Amino acid sequence: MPDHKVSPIEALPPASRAYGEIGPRSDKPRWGLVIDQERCIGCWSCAVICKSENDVPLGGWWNRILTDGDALDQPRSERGGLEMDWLPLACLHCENAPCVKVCPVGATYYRDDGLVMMDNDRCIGCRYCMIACPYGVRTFNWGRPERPTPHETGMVEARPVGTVEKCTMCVHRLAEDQVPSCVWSCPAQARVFGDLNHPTGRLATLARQSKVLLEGLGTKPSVTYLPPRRKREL
Amino acid sequence: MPLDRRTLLKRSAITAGTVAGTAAVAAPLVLGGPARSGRDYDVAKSLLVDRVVRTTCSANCTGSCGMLAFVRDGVIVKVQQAADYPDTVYNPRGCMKGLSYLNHVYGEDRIAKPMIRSGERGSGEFREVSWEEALDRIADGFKRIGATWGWDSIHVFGQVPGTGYIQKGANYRAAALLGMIHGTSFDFNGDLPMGMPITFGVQNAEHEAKDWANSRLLLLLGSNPVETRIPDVHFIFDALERGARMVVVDPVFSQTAAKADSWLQIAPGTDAALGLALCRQIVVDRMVDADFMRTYTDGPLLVRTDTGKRLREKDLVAGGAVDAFLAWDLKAGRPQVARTDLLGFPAGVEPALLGTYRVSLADGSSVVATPGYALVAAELERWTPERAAKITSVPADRIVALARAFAGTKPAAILMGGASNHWYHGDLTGRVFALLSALTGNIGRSGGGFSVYVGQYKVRVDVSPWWNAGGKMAKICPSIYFVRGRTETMHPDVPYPKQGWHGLFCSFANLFVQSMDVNRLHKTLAGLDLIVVVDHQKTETVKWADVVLPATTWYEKTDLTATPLHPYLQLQQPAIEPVGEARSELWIWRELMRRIAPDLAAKYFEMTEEDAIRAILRAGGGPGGPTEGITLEQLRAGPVRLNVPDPDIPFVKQIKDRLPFPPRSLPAPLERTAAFIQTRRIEFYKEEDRFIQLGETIPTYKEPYDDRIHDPATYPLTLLTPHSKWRIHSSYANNAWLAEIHGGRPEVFIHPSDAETRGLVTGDPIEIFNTRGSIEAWAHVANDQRPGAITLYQGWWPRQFRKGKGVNELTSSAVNPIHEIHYVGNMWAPSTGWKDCRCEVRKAGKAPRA
Repeated sequence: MPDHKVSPIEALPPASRAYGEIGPRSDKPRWGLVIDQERCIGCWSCAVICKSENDVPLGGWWNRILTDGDALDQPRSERGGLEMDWLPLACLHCENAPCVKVCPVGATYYRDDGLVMMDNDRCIGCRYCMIACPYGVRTFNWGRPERPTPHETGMVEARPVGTVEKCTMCVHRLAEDQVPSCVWSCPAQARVFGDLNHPTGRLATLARQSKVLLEGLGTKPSVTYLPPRRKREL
Repeated sequence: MPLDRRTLLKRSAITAGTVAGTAAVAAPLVLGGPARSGRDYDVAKSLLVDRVVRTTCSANCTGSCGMLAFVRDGVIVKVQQAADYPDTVYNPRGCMKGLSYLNHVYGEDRIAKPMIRSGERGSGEFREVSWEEALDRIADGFKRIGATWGWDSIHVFGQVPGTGYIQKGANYRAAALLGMIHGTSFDFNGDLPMGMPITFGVQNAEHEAKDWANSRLLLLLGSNPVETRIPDVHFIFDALERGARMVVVDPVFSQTAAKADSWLQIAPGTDAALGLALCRQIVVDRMVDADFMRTYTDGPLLVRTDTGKRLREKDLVAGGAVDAFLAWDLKAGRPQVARTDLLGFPAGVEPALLGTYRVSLADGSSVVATPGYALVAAELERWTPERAAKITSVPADRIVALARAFAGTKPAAILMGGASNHWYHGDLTGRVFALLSALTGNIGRSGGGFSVYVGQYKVRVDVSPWWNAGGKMAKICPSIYFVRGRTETMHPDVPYPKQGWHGLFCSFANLFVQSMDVNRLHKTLAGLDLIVVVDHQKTETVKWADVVLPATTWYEKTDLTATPLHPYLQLQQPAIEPVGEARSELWIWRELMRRIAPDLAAKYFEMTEEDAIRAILRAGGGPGGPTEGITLEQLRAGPVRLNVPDPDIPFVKQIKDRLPFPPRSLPAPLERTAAFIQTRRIEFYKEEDRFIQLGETIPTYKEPYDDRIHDPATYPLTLLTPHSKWRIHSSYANNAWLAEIHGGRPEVFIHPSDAETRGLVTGDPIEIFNTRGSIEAWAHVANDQRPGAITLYQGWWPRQFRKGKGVNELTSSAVNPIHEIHYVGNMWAPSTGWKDCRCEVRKAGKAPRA
């Protein structure tokens, strides 16, 4: 085994590294994500790479793709026909996050860039946050992690058992100017990441056209959705 | 957004229900873990790695996606798309299956050591042995078979070459040297779109995926890229964002139909009837590109009404050429020879497309002849929208609307998929839609074209220095004849072994699951003296082997890959040492050859993968060659675009420079495939005897073949077995991550009306049966289905079914004699009809799961 270890970002081939760069941002970024539901094909690539990147054990998913339909990948009857859309759902990193408010030990908190974080060393496993979250995106790690591989995988350390886990927006990647892994790996190019505070940036532009999930709750998520386009019959 | 919180949480539960369930039964709560310094996540960076290696994910999916393997302490801890294509529209390229390959490099089904059978065949009982013992056993066994029945009684089967030219080439090379018969995959898989060689004289020819973005109208025929072309489907969204429209023709509301502007729910297997009505409407509306038909097709070439054969120069003058064809020049009022070395006609000639003409023959008699197009037009006249509506169940007004949209929008692309091709008469469907594309002048045009996407068949480089040995090419026999034995109509050039089959070397394939008509295959197996299977997963095929050899994954070996979907040549490079005692096919064959024929081994197998790659690059590296200027060193760094036009679309030279069809289909010599279309034009009229006997001289529609085998009154359901997004054929069926999403057991999707008459509800155990077999799975009542058809996605392993029997016990191995008129393996050969299959279902008993 070589003793010399390197950052997986620094070890990227140049073309790959350039692909993943976050791009222009303001002096004080607030990270956001827009998901294009027209482009989303429900393939779960974003969810699978999340599981791999973050070493999420069997039984847990930080990121899932809901079918707006009767069952997984099954359409709904609507307007005399069939329709189906997908809704990728992970932590929406709300500006007004119910989970932060209910945490009795301050284990859930805001970063300066607006991301909602978990401090798993503080978490006491009470799971109030899971009940408070209106989007159901938090998971609880019940026991010793089980994996299909005999070894730990991914790019972050495993969390202490008996704590709540969720999407971190891959902060460990942001630190090296790389987009979250779900954004990198979306084959349909349905996910756009960037700085909501950079007014002329692509992300901010798209965010203005996008819709907020359960807007009436006033959670102000940093992750929003571009709804499916209107179809044009023959 | 219509969702409220209750619905949202409910849907979360639906999609990940199995996940929550698994978690809830897990171990008791344990608090704690190593103490850490509070909020250090703020400054966290990725854990370090040893290295990042660029390789290519190349299952048999046509993806050929660049992947990075992140290696820490000698093991892979993540794989992720390389996203390094110089043409950045191709980034990132790769799907959830490839991203979860860790499950297969290290999962519980990984084979790490050679094994020899210790129980009955099929018992799955093996003992682990040394490589030495396994190789000796195979070498001895093959030598005995060779001496007793001839080396040609050993069938070498491996899936499509594009997934890895070097390792698959090792099989071809060994077969060439020893005289074993190599099998086929493209035709065997039913992916060979026989409409292409019949019409264009090519194996297949398709637009590279990025050209979809240039289309204004995308007509998808039994094609489901949202599920089966995940790395490429975004090009369709690019087109839609630029204002294009997408029409999906599919019996099922596929996931692609969910994205379409218009979905035509067609009756299964009737696509050709729809296509004929579309063509007729274009003729009626006078929207035909007559200039295209005159210049590039056999439309103006005269056909004798007495024999149904084309009129030739030799008919007119003694000593005239056999391969000189004639058109009727309206201006001169006499026949005019059509050149076969340059398409079109000289200025001043006005070739007729319609009418009948009396022509004087060399013997003094005369004959009435008519242009091929006139015969096609006469057939089209019968295909009114109303008639097609009756057969296809697509309403007549929608057929007319589609025809007008298609003819009125340029460029318009046809994307045909396996669902339309995998029929006994899939060739007719291909011919009809090729006609639609030609009538509208969309051939050879960016954003247009008639493309069939199914199978990573394409040999894009000159592989001859590696696949062939000493100038000898392996003999190739369609594997359908291995499954079912020879047919009466088999082409005499097919190298079928005189003494039948006695050995099988199966590598990179799950033949005993992914063969049609599996019960028939097992009769062949019973007569085999030795079955060798090379794989890295413990598949059902492994279970039936006598000797199992552990193969490397593409994270453990060197290979060269390409695909029809994009024109990049890429390497597979080892990121880690082989797991356990796994070895590559090249290594395996070198060791076997050393034991079987040491002199041949010394001469032809003492080389590395790199040597083979260099030889291939050199062979195609001449001026204008596909690998001109490409070096191994470039490939080590990343993907390199082959020396092909940009965008890479077929028939451009034929259309622009009026060069004769066909372009070459590698690796066959041009003359072999040019023989398919003697006029050297796009042929819509076929004159070979069997076309005439079977009434298929011109594109037409015939009812599904299995209706003749299974009376629709007794077997009222069509069994559709499409590709699933969760698998590549049977690969990934045992993927633990993906199983958490889709539930991990085979479901039969059935329309509520069909379920109700049979008393079925979702979750019921269900028996699916016909005269070929009977299997059991679970019912899923679903409104995306069509009454009279059920869907059971192919690729589940038998062990995942109730009673341990897989879906291909039901599918058909019928051979269409049209596919036996000529023979070039994988190019004009029997293409199989997986979807041409009738069945019935009923609620199954409470039998325990096998």
